[in-house]
Amino acid sequence: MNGTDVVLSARGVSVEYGGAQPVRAVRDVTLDLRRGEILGIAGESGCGKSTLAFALARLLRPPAELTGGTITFTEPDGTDVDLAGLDTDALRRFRWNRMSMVFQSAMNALNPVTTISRQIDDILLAHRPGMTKRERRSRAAELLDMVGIDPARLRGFPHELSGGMRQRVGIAMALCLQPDVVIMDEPTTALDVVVQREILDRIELLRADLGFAIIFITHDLALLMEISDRLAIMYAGRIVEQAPVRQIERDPRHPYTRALLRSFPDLDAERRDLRGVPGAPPDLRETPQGCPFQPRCAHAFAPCRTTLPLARQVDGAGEVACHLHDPAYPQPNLDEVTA
Amino acid sequence: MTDVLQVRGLTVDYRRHGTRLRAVDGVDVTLRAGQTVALVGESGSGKSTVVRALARFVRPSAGTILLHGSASHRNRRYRRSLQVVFQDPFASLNPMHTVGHHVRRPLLVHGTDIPVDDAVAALLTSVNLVPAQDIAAKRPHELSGGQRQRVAIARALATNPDVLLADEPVSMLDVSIRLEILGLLDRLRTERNLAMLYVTHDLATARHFASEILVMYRGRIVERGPSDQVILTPRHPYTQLLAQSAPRRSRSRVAPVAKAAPTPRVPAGGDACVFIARCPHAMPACARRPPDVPVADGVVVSCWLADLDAPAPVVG
Repeated sequence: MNGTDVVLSARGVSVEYGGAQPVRAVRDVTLDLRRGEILGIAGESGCGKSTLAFALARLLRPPAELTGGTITFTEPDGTDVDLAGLDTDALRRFRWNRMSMVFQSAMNALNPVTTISRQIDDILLAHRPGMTKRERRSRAAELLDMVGIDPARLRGFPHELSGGMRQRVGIAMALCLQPDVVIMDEPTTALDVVVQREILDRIELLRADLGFAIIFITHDLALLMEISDRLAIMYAGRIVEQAPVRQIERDPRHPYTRALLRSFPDLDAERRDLRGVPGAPPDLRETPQGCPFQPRCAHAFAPCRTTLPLARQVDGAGEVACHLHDPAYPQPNLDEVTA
Repeated sequence: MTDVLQVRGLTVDYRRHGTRLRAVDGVDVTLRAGQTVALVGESGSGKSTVVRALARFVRPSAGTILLHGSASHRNRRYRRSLQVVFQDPFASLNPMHTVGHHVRRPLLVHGTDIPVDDAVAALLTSVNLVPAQDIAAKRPHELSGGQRQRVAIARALATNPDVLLADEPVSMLDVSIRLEILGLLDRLRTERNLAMLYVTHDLATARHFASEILVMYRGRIVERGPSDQVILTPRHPYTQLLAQSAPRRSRSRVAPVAKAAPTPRVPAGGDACVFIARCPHAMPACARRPPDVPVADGVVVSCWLADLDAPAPVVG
């Protein structure tokens, strides 16, 4: 079904937070993650990027619920696994083994009252029951060494480690069983820039060595532009543009992508007019008519107010959900309007 | 340009469990009317403590603070002239009070030439909170983070200050509105001829919004100078590390280089350079406090490397 290089594929995924007024946090998201690539997902707070990550990892808990779509994982041998259909036991075997997750706050992800050693041991005990105690201990030491932490720290507790070290322990644990996919949700957001750089370098080295694919979620577009192979931009629960990162750098298509790029001053670029994105994202309890970005969009024209733009392939690689790129409508010149 | 706030040798100690922690160690800052100075550094560098000391929330252990040449701070004039915008607009506004109440209080305390209600409306309008009358009746929870920060800015401006200390004013806000708020602060600086201190960990916005940058590490200013000079040609090893670490969209992804060999063990603490333990260039001279060395283009670096005429280190 899938091309052999796709390891995780989402088709029409929708997530709702139930309640009197359900919040439709993720709406009809379709994306593919290829083996060994870094796919960056960017967007403002509340755009649904973390909810999407949790959905892909099947970590949603009530009131959040997957209301539509399929998530397919392709095993290295080509077998497709329907993630939504896994029962508890199969899911337990799947997690850590095939797919793992690194969270924003490693302090909350690690158990404060047991040693680092015990926490890695837990994973191995559950998933590799055949391993002897000695093998487990040596694997744990190897893992810490891999992320640049002295294995002597195994006997330590999370609070004895710095924020950056804790995050590296989180990464070591995620890589413990050599998964094919690691989902990283804002893994460096709480860290200082120098520590962030160490973590990013480490992730890059490990990926080159071990060949896992990463879904990297953050609001920091500058960071994503640097580390990703491909980029998906989310707005109001939908992916509005998806393309190789160099293409987005060269020629961002969606007005929101352009606005978001403008919101980040580049450290060593020429000084230029810096603007944010005026206005606020829509209330996700409602389903506005037309394009959700239309009220904030400088290029909105008639169809944007009535018809929801769907993702369409554009010349070159990539997809964009915007009427400006739909040949069915007369096209205003984007650059002219921007200037 | 006139010097509005002159700070010399500012030192702040925190006492905890009987031990003394020097959070700020001999910091000099000069704020001029209509100019923004950025104070950059990582968490724990002491940059927020500088703000707290200038705002008189903590008492400095040493140093002088001159406002328009006067050293007296225990008066209403100092508080009127120097205002703070805090990082967290969710914590800095009282959820029980309306927006109007927040902005009216300082007007009642410090006085205003026009009717108070008109002054409130004018302040809210000046930070783009319109229609001012509707916004004034709202409570903080009815506003977005960006709108709340605008209220905090309007409140700070209510006393018609000369100095505005902005302590990480956008780091809690969503990415898409950060530049809007920084742009607003920049416009207000020009319109009101404010002397502004922009405290941040973000080198990129520091470079774009400030004319001068001070780089702080463990309580000391290690490098200072015109923004472009400090960011584009950093001289201090710490500034170089910061600039190299910042994400860059244009950087092509290359295999990361292995970390440099561990630095030679030079005794830290005491009077040594604060960066000694992490510095790839650490040498015996660094066991003594480095001098402030003026290098080209108005940049001052606190580093022995920059001091070409450094005397031979005394061994023993």
